Amino acid sequence: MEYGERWAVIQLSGCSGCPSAVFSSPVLQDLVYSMPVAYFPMVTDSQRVLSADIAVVSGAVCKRAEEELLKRVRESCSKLVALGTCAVYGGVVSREVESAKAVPEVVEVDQVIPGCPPPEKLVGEFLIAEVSGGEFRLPSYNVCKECPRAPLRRKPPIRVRYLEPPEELQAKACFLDHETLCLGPVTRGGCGAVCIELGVPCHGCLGPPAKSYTSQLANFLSILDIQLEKSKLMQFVSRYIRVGVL
Amino acid sequence: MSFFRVLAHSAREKIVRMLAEEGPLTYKEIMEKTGIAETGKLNYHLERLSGFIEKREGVYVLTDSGWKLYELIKYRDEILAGRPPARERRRRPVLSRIGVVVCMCNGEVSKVISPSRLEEEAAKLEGVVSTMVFQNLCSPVSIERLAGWVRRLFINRLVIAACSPKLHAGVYQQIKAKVKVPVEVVNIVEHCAFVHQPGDKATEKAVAMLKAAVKSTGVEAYMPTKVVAVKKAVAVIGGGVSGILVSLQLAKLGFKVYLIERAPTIGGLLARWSRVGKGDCASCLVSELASSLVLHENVEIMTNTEVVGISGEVGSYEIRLLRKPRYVNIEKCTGCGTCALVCPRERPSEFEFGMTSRKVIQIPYSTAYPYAPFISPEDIELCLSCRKCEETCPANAIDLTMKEKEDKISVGAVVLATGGELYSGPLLEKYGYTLHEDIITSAEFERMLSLDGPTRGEIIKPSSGEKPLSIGILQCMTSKGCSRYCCSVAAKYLRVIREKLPDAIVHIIFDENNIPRDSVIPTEIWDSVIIGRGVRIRTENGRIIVEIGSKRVEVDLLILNLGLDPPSKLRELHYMLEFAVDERGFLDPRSLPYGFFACGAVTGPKSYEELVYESLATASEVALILSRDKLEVEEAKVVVDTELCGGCGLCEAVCPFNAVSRGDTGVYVDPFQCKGCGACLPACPTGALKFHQPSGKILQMVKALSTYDGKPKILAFCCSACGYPAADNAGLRRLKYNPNTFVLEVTCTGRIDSEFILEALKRGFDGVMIFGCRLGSCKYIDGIAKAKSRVEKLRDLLGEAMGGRVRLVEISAIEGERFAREVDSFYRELAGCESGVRGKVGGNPA
Repeated sequence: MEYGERWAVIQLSGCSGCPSAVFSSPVLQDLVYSMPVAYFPMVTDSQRVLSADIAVVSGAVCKRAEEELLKRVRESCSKLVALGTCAVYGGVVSREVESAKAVPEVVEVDQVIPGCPPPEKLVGEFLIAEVSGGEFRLPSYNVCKECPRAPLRRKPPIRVRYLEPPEELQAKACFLDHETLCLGPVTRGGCGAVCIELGVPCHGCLGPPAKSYTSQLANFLSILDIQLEKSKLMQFVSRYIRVGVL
Repeated sequence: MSFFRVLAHSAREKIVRMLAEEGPLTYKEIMEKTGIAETGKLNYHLERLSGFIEKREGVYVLTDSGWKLYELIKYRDEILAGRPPARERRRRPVLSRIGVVVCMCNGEVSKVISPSRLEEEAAKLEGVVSTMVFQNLCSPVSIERLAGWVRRLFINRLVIAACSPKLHAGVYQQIKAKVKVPVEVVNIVEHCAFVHQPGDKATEKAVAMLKAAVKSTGVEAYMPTKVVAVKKAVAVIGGGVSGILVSLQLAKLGFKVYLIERAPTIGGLLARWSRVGKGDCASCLVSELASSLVLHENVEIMTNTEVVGISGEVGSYEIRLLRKPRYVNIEKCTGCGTCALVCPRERPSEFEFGMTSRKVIQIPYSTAYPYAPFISPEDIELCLSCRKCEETCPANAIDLTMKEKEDKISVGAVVLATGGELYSGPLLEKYGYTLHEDIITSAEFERMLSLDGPTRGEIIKPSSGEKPLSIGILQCMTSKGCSRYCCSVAAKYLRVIREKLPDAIVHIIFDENNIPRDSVIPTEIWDSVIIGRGVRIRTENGRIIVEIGSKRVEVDLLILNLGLDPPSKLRELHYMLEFAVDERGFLDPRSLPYGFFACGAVTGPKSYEELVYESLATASEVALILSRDKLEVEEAKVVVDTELCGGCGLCEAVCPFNAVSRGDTGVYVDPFQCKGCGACLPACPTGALKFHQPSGKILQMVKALSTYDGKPKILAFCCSACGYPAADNAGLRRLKYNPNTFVLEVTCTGRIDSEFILEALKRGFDGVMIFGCRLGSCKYIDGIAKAKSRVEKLRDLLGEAMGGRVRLVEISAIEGERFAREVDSFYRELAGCESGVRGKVGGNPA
């Protein structure tokens, strides 16, 4: 049997949603022989992190020990992938822990896969591309492309009064047409708009498809006529990614 | 098996072709069609084709690889036929050979900026192959020398550090035509040398500006062009005297002219006037012009017609028209007027400004063209119940069932000659128009003077029919600013009154409360001028009393002299076309898109002589376009990258010109509707829009400018319509401001992405300023409102301290002094903040 590059799946501060996304990926069982696991505490007995070629890091960096580990991993592994919103942007961890940092703030990363948790589709595509030597690219369109609802119809002022959709919402209409804030337009696609399909407006866990998050938000919110309490709005938009950083 | 090995035998190729083109086939059918009689042979070929075909339910079909094979066959055929299929050509990065030119403006620049330092720094930059210093770039000799230098050194990008590209557009146009390479301009004159002292850091600033321009040449602007076949026809919108004059001229030049008039007759306001300025009879003049126009074979006159839509590009516009019914067939009508005689219903005559009455079916005046009666659509319900005229008409020309219909014309250029409108606002009420029958407007007085008017040219008091002994002319009936019109009209009246009533006393009255600030009153030409604050008009025993302070004048006839206002329908055209209006609401002809021209009172009141000259000039401008067979035009200003587009529709929501629409094939930008403001770019979350001023270029410039060493430094984003010219204005007036300020031009403030502001703050700019048009006079309707809202949201997200570093200023193009003042005051605030003297930076003063 031909062995491929050895993998390490590392969890820093955060929940274990992101490694679970790798573990539960439908492609893993087909690829498992092509991707020998050097370190994946959820699956195997731990060996040594530093003997891997590809490191998949999830969670935010909160402790000094984590920062040091990350730096050593960067030196020993040829490829470092930040998986999940906490690793890519700080995510929910940075909301709770003031000093939390995202992985790219500490070390250079070769690939980011945001999402809370990262969408099955992106994880699967990434694993296949990595094993077969193909190229993996994040979608650069926004959630609207995959949204099952009808496109936005309103012209400015697009009034926004709710953070949760009102009950009388039409099943097919855009949330923004129903005065409900949805971050779908300013959020990277690839998730299949699963939340929206379940009737929950997008909270933007995949981050912006282009530009910085703060500039995206300022551009987007300036089009809307927002009639919400400022603190509630700020809480909503900074759920996954910090705003106001340059 | 390899593709080519399969194709080695013609039988196998034939099988693949058949299965692709004819669909699934049975074994027997394949045998018949290929003509292979032996099963062994056929089996062999089918065996060799395994993987490309498969047998399913008794028939052979192509697999995915089989389809690829078929594609390959087709490609090969195309290549052999000499039609190589379109392939993505690999783009190699263009090798930049940048030339840098510095102009000294005859020593004006070198007083402040060291040219040798500029040259030396420019030469160090990547991609710069040569530099050159001119004493005076605008001379033809210099331009020749420049073009030769560009050719000799194979320079493919040119950076010119000289004067403002706005103020000296002509020079840059000449340079661009000569050098034929992309040109980037650095304004080191108005934005640097003129506004800083020699001891300042002006040279450092100029170096940073030059660096930014050189760096930004690396980002290619997206500007596709295409060639348009020019339609040899022109539409003239508005059939007033200026429309007639320009139509006549263009028809003489040999172009097809469509003259489009909303009213049922052509001639406009002048047809109702008594005389033109110098004393000719106005209605004779108009009727003479109209008749020579009618006789011209190239002219098609469309009365009762409105423009409802314009699309296309210069050289090939399509204009959608709505032709309203006249209810009289002009071809059949002989103009006998019998219909008006039998018509039982009367209305006040609009033509005579209500001084007499008219029939519902009417020919408004004796020299009207077309000389045929009409019924206005609002009266038609009434007429359908009467039908007397229809029965009486000897020519059977009346058809009360006529319907409005749509029409379309194709033209190469368009002339807007919609004229102006007489003032009809609240001032009339204020000065007693309804108080007394002998208080009339200048329009009514014009009709009174006309020989075909209600009094046959006699000046009388409408109340009694007597001749007035004293006449007052109250000036300045205008809604905004000096109309530059009513003074010359008053002078004309004075002349006519002296001629007709030599004994009458004429008082020209100005109310100081009402005189516009910008007006010039030529008092020396009149004998009795009364100027005072607070003119009151009242009546006493049937006499009109004019009171000004303690002065008191009795007059028999008071004329309220109306100014000219912009036409009320200009707003509708404004939504179809992009143009700016001046402070009084008249069209600013400079802002019209290429291929559109304005002529006559639509750009402001004019004398008849001015109209004649202007129509000649306009006609020659139009001829410049129409005389060419082909034109190269911009294909689109904004183009959508469908790969990146998610179809969220935010661009459609923000577009001020409704140029964006979403269909089944994705987002589409109408190249005609789009005016290129770029307001959609910040709204696009995925960066799917391509624009001639790409975000990458601006970010690159911000980065390069941030290398300037100086604290605190300010980046000022200036809109091209008002902000940038305001900075130019400060330069022209040599107003000094702090050199740590950089001006970066953007198409519109609505185009300023929050990303630019954040990038500037991140890269070490201490403050970001935005200079845009005043709300209401924004060239792109609401760009400044968008910028304002964006800055507000950015302040919310960044918090107090950081948000205070962004300031937005509404400014006019001529407010150079204010530009300098605002920059300096922001600088002082930031400096105070820096040293901790003042604490935090305040918010927007507005």
